[in-house]
Amino acid sequence: MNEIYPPFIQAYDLSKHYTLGQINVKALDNVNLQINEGEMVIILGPSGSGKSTLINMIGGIDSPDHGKIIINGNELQTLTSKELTIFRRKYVGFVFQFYSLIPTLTALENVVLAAELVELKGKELRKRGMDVLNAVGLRGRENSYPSQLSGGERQRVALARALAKHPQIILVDEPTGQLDEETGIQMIELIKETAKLFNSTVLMVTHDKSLIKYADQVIEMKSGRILVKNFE
Amino acid sequence: MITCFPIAFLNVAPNLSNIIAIEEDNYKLAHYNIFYTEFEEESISSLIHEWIDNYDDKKRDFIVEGRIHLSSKTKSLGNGEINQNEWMEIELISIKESLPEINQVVLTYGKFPTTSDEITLLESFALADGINLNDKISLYTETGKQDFTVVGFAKSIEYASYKLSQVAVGYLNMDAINSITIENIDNKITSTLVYFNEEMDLQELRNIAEYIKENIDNLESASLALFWFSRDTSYRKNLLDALKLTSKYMTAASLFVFLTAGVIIFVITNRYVGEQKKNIGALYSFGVNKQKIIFSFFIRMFVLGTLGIILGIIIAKLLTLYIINNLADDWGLFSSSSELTPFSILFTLTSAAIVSFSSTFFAIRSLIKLTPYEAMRGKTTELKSTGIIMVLSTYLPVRNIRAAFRNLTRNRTRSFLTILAFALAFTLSSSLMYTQDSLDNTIYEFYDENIAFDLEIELGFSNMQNRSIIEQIIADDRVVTYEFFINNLIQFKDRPENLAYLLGFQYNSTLYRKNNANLVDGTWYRPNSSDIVVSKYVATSLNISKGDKLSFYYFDSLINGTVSGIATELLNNLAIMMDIEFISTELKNVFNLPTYNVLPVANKLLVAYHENANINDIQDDLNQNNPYVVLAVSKEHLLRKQVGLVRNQSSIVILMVSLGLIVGFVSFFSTLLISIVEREREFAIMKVYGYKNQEIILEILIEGMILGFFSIIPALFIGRFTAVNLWIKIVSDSFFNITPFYLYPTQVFLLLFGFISILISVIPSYILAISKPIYEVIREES
Repeated sequence: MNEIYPPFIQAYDLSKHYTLGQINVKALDNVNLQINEGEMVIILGPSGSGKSTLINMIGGIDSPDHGKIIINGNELQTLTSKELTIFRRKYVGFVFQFYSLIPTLTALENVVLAAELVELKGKELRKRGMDVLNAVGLRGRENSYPSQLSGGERQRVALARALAKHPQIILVDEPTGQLDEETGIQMIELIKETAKLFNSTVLMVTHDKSLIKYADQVIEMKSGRILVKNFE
Repeated sequence: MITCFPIAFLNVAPNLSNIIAIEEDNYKLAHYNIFYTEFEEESISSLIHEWIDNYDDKKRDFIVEGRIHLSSKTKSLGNGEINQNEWMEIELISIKESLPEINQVVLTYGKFPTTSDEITLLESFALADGINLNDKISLYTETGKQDFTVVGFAKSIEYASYKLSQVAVGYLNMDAINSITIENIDNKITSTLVYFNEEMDLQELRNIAEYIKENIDNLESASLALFWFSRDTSYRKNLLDALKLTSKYMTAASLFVFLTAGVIIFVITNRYVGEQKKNIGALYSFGVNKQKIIFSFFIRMFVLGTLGIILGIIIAKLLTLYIINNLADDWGLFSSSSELTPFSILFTLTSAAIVSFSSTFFAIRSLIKLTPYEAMRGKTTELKSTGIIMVLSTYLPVRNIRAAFRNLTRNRTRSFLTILAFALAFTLSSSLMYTQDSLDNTIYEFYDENIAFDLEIELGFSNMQNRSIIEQIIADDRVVTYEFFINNLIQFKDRPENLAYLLGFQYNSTLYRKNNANLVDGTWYRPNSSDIVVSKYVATSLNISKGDKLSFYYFDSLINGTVSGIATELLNNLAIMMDIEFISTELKNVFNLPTYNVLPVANKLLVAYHENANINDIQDDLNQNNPYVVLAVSKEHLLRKQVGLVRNQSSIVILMVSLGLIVGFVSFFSTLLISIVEREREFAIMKVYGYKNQEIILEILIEGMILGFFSIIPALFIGRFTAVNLWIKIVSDSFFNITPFYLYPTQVFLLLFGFISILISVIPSYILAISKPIYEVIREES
């Protein structure tokens, strides 16, 4: 841990449970972590271990029952819904497990949807969109619709969309889940490269242990708890 | 919707027509109403009975009844839609110990008069003037002013309703009648009614009428004023005219409903097809036949349609009953019904099936072209490469507007159809509202430009021959000018069952300007000629054209003329117009009168007063204090009557305007709801990326406003076109020419309604779309 600069992301005693019918599910159980700026952190664990819940909370789209999250000095639990939206606008880019591209917009339009939030318009907006699409290797595919793209290409568009705002935090949920091995490796390398380019902190959720070599920090979870933390 | 409205609309006219026909017999509407010039002995009715009995060998089932039927005048209370202190004519009918058998009257509230100071009024007239039980009304008669207490309200088979006829009616007992007449009325009557309790054809009625007239002529003691075929020319006939118009309105409205509903069905089915594409792709890949899958959509439409039809027919029955109840009340009918004719159901179901299955076919047409793999991948054939609007929209300065244009061009078909459905529905409403505005304005303009008198003073024929009476009236220094005027019912020679009003003006009249703009065909009459100009309504009803010969009786003399023109006439719709000089010349010999400057044939004076003159005061003075004045009415009263007559369709028009607005709202709401709810995941993603709720809702609102703009603005213009070429044409073909007129408040109202519809469509839909937590929505597989 860096003693001079406090951790960029801090989480203390995070707990969350969901009720599914009669069953009470503990999604997170007293989770603590600290992540420095610019780090690439991989959160490992089997399905249902609480990985997605954790990054949803860090992204401000879900809230814990107990505990607190502090990101760049902002304690998320004290923010109102509106303030959380502004927080996400300023700091966070998401790459979803199933891409979540808007099917009726082209690749460029999906990316521009995020870029518009930083008050770009006209030529500047288009340039930003093209820049990030080029950065993820999709030059020439900007006018294609998601249904016309392969799985890997869709994932790249999702990544480009996340990068369009030049966010400080990129949250990535199972980026290789829908891809073959080779494409998956390409995707991780791309994420690491572009994150470095924009100096973004990356939290990546995966169940694939072969990816840990790309991480600055690995957190292993099971049943809502952190089992192992690998600090450098 | 596609079932209930058309079925209801198509059944209104048949039901009403049925009710009218049944009531005419149930309540014994007279075939003849024989008016005498003075009080006659009651025994004349027995004579008429005898004559009909002996007419030929045929045994007829009929009733003959005498009654006293007088005219008086009263001033309105002004607590309803009639202006306060408006002078009007009121017809007074005698009620004896037993109620009349012919032209039956049905008490709806209170009682019939039993004392000489009680009166029972026509219910619809009381409603129009806001008269309640125990109110007092004053009648001005030949014995002076008398007050009567209102003790009851009644409906009459003879008078339909005040709304349709603009005739005030009161029922008095014999003591009351005695008190308002100078003459002793014991065993006296002023008219005889005849009712045949069997089918009578027109020629037979004409023949019997001629026979009765001849016999009356042979009596020295009696003199015929008018022989009225009261089933052929009656207030009930107004009903049938109103019914024809209603029928046309409703058939046209049904077409609008079919078109709009078709669009909504297409949009909803299209959405459903989109949702099912992946499932369909999976089915294809398992080996299910494409035709079977497409057939399943038709089965779905069939099942939904069947359920819709059952519900639609139930609602149609209730809606028909509602419409007919309201119209029955408005039109003074006694009963109501809500039978649904097999034809209307069959026609509607066939049309609905065609519209529904066509819409379904177009919605699923895209499926036919996809391969299974394309279907599973969610390929949408309607997406095209970025269009010019999309490209241009990226340069719009405001992000929300940019996004709104982009979103609307995504699914061009749906956007287009939403605009089409909303525009169609708004066209229906706007066109009807424009038509009403035009109707009213035409009447107001007619009176502004053509009617220059302030008072129409009825003196009656005998008083008009008395120079001193006339001089008394025109000696008033507030009088600017005056003219003699005929306004009296006449009977045609070749068709005695038809009546019309003869309007006789001076050729160079300054008080009734003969405007060429009012001519529909031909020319105005030449001075002192036998030229006749007929009103459009008379020409249409009696199938009269320019050049036709017309003969009619006036003062028992036959006047022959030729139709020189057909005109819009709004002083009296049911009118023929001639030069009063010509009529005077034709009849001078009959009367053998001195040749001073009094035309013996006029019954009224038209008078114009100075601008500063208080017309109400003059009118009051004439009606209350001048015993020779039968009735002095103002131009405003005549104008209001005309507007009232024209507005008898107002309840239908309001219903159809409301229908258009409701259908418009429903179409907009349903398509926007689909468009917003299907973007639930997109909104969640936008919120994840930092879009605020207000930004998203503003974007959707702008989308709604853009759709609304492209729907409503064209609808306002197409509405004008529809008003002129459909509704106005329907009315103009039958009644009088209407000048199109567009009021700004109407347009403002429609714009406001559109704006509110958009707000109401967008906000609840969005709230529904964001009701789930973000993490739940994005967790779902895309």
